[in-house]
Amino acid sequence: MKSDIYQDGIKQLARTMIASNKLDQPDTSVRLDNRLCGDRVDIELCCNDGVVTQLHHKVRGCLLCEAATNIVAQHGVGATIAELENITEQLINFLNNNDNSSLPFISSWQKLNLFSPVSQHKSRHQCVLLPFQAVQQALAEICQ
Amino acid sequence: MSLVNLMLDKPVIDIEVLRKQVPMLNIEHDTHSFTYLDYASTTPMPTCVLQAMWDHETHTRSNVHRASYQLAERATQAYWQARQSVARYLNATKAEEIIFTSGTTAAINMLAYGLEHQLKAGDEIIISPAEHHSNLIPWQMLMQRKGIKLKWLPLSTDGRIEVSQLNQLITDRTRLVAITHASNVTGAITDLAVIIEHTKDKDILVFVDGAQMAAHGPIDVQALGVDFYAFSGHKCFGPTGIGALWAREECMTLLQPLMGGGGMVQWVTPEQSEFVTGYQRFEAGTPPIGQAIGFGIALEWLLSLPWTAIQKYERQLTQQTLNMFRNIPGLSLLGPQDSNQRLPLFSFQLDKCHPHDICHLLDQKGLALRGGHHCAQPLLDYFDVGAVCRASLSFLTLPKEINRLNQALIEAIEKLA
Repeated sequence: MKSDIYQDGIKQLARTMIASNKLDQPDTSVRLDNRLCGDRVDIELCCNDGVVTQLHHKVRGCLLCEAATNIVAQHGVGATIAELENITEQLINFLNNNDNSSLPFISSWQKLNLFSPVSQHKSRHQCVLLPFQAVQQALAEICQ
Repeated sequence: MSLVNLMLDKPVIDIEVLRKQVPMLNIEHDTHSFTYLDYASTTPMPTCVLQAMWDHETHTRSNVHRASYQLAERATQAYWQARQSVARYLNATKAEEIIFTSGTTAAINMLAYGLEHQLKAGDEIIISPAEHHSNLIPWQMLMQRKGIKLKWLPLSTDGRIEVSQLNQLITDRTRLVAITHASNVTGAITDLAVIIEHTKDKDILVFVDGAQMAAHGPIDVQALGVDFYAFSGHKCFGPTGIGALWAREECMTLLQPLMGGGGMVQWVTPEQSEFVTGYQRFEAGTPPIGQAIGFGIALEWLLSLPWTAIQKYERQLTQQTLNMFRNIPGLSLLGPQDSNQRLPLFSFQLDKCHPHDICHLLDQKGLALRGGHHCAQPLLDYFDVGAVCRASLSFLTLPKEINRLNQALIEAIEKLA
């Protein structure tokens, strides 16, 4: 368990969170807590024709949670519901896989590869997944 | 050998020697010395406890109260001795006042359900925002089932329960005060004497959650003057899955049993049953016998220690830690600053460093601490924090381990900068 999850790329992501304003009329708002550590992510979303058009985020969490939220914030707008579902599923598998030899994320989501060392730390998976799960929950509410 | 010798009114005690009796403290953590600082969550077990449980499972494993063969007789006897050990540890008047449970949480649920039939809608229970969820949720559930009201004692700015305010909360509908003996977040010790002062001569029961306090020395429930007291084996150097609810003899009769089953009945017909009286009424089914035996031995181990010296030593550790924390820039400590008002249990935050990240990095240096809300979300909300790191010590902690924590914290802060 010596892998360094606190590498510069992760720290950089966490420290350079893109600014976000609350949405005037979000289609849905979701607050998700990590019941183990108290991390909290708030997500507001607007969607049009299956594409995320606006996204507001607020995070109170650890470095991993902040870094993951920043990736969602950077690349969530413009993504389709299907793409976000797929990326979340892929991220879950990536963390559970515990296989650092493959770095599967490409294009706009490739920064998720930075979380490769987290796969060895089961108790930290939820820190990375929390913003993605919040987005999933928000999308599910929109699709209902 | 680095010795911590305590020469007070009892013979010298050598903490290093005591630690050798506790195998978990002597494991190696990669290249680092292992430093366990999560005693508030779970304590390690000394060899005598492990051996007693091994002996039981190897030589006397059988059910209690149900057979007359020698094995079962020995198991029954050992199980009874465990109850006597709990009674001794709490200074209960008799072993029959002890109900074995699976832990403090189970004890409080047993109490909440047990008192339910005594309560009416509108009756009031007084608690505090400093409670562990285990001493909150069972009462919330009772509130939902029965329509009782929960009333809250206020907290001071450093998180101590303002027991002096109790009188202002008590009405003729107050039935129970359910309060922690010591907070699992701030370490603040509750002044139970004030609570007893306010409730005596009134028809108000007092329950105390002793989960944190009990590992820091034997309890005297008679001197405390409370009615119910609960604590857990795994926080007192015993096994998991065992704990106790002490009920003053006349108070035990107030309770209805939470569970029905074998061992708690006088007779059974197809239509109905007659329950036995006393502690057995609350211990339906085969009990956790091996765990109870281990629990009893753990308490006997604790009872054998020179507590005056140990409590002085724990206060020294507390003071050392408080002094250390004052010198770490950006560190905010929750709870009292006075070592006499708290247990050696420290929840803290560091500027710009999340507790989860800190605990992860400390683990890589061989230090075991816990980060999170510690099952005390109302208290963390009171402090307006989502999570904290917690270093919890015991009399087995060495001063050099606190120095190790200091160094590791400084390195973690640098790493996360």
